Amino acid sequence: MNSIITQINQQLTIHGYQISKEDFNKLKQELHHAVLHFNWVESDLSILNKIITKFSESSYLNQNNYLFLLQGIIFCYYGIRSHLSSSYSDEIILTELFNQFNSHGELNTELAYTTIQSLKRR
Amino acid sequence: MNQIKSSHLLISKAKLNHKQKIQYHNMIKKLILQFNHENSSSLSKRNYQRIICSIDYICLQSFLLHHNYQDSIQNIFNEGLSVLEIKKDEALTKYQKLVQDSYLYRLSQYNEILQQLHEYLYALNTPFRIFRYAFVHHDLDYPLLDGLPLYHDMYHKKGLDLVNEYMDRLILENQFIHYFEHELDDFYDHFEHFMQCSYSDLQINLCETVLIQFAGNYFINQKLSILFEDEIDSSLLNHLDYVKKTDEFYQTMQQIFPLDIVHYLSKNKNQLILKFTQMKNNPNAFLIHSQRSKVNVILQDDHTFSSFEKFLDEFSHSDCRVQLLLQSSLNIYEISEIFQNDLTYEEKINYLQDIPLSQLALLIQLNYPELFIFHQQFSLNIHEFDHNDEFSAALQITLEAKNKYQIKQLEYLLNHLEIKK
Repeated sequence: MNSIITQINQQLTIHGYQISKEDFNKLKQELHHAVLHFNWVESDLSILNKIITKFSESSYLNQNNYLFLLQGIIFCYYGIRSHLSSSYSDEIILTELFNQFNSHGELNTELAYTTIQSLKRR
Repeated sequence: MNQIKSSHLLISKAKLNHKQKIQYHNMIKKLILQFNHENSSSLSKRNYQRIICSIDYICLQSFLLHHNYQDSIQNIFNEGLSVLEIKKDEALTKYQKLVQDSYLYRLSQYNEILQQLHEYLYALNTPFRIFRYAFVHHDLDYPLLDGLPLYHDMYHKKGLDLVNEYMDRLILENQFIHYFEHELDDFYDHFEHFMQCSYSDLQINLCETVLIQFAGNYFINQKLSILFEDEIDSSLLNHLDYVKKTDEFYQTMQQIFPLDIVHYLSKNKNQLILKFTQMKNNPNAFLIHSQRSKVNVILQDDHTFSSFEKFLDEFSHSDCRVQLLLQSSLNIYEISEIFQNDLTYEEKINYLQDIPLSQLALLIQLNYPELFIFHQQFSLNIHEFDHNDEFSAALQITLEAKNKYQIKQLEYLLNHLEIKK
């Protein structure tokens, strides 16, 4: 796991912050919580890596709020994932969620709703 | 192998070594991606369970054949797939046989079951087949000789094995029915006339009906046929020892049919004995026979509306209305209309008591059409009637006044008269 965190941190350093092992574990817990909540199963934990590195590029995230925001984003991601068929790839959903988050900067149910609507309009 | 034993062989519950555990988890990951068309690594719990069951089912095929539990999971899985490919080819051959036999059936349900089987087997030719082998989404709801597969816990089988088992049984039934192929058209005609309904809409098993007819004919006429040309003399069945006779019947069958068919049909032996014991006193109610002896009362449509109007006019001014109606030459529908609408309760009783039994039988048939569907051998029981209307009440009084012989005669008429326009 350490090597994964090191790998993520190399990416995060560019944006001026680092993730601790403890915080990474909290994000993992949030992922378990989210899949349980949506009656879902995740087979590949590297999705966490993808979420963290993707959203680290957002200007809304910083050393103080990243844990709180990433927890919300993980929950939001599985909410969206469980509402869409597998014809929508994980990458497409993450990219659209990132774009919607970046344009509004708010983390709420509205974000999940607009992301789903935008994906369905394609 | 029964369910409990095979559940020990389920890979999801097996004790895997470390290497196998890693291989197993990698396989799940790979199949989840395949299930999601390589688009996502996650899925609903329900679909996850489906994948786990699919892996279990496929690997079980290999375990049952090779008993090799130490091999790599991928090898076990691939061997399982090869076994299923062979079973699929067998299933397709069986399906073709069933399609060829469809001319034997006049049941729409048989065509529906063929459609269900086709849909399942077609799905086994798609890239998604790995996830279909273990699951039959249809109920396979054409009942076999011993009932619906559902009543037998689907024979403790699932997926392709269940489909193969079901088709094996159905093929045996069809092979038996083939022996009476040349009689089937007449049989269907007799059946529809006897039951007063279309055969195609019924949810019944053809093999069972044919078997009962065949056994009945053997017991009564010692004939190898499913057709009864006339009514059955119930005294011929009264004194039979059904257990002995049924044993004798199955022994005779062994000389005529292949052993696997007789073995299959003998599963129904006890039901057959029970059925014939029940029909002992009344075989005509159960065994399908041609009803040449049924008398058709043909209604000649020579009454004009004006003559009916004229009669009504005369009728309404008459002092002895019952007498007038008794002497009229009206047809049964016209009589029934006047009876229902214009006679008082007392007049109704008087009229019913005075009309000939044949007329009374026709009126009963007209008033209770529902009792004459499937009840060809109708037994007159006043308690079966709904007593809420005047006809039923008047009928009860009328029947109570009749003697045993008259009641028997009326029953005979009820069973033998038929109104034809």
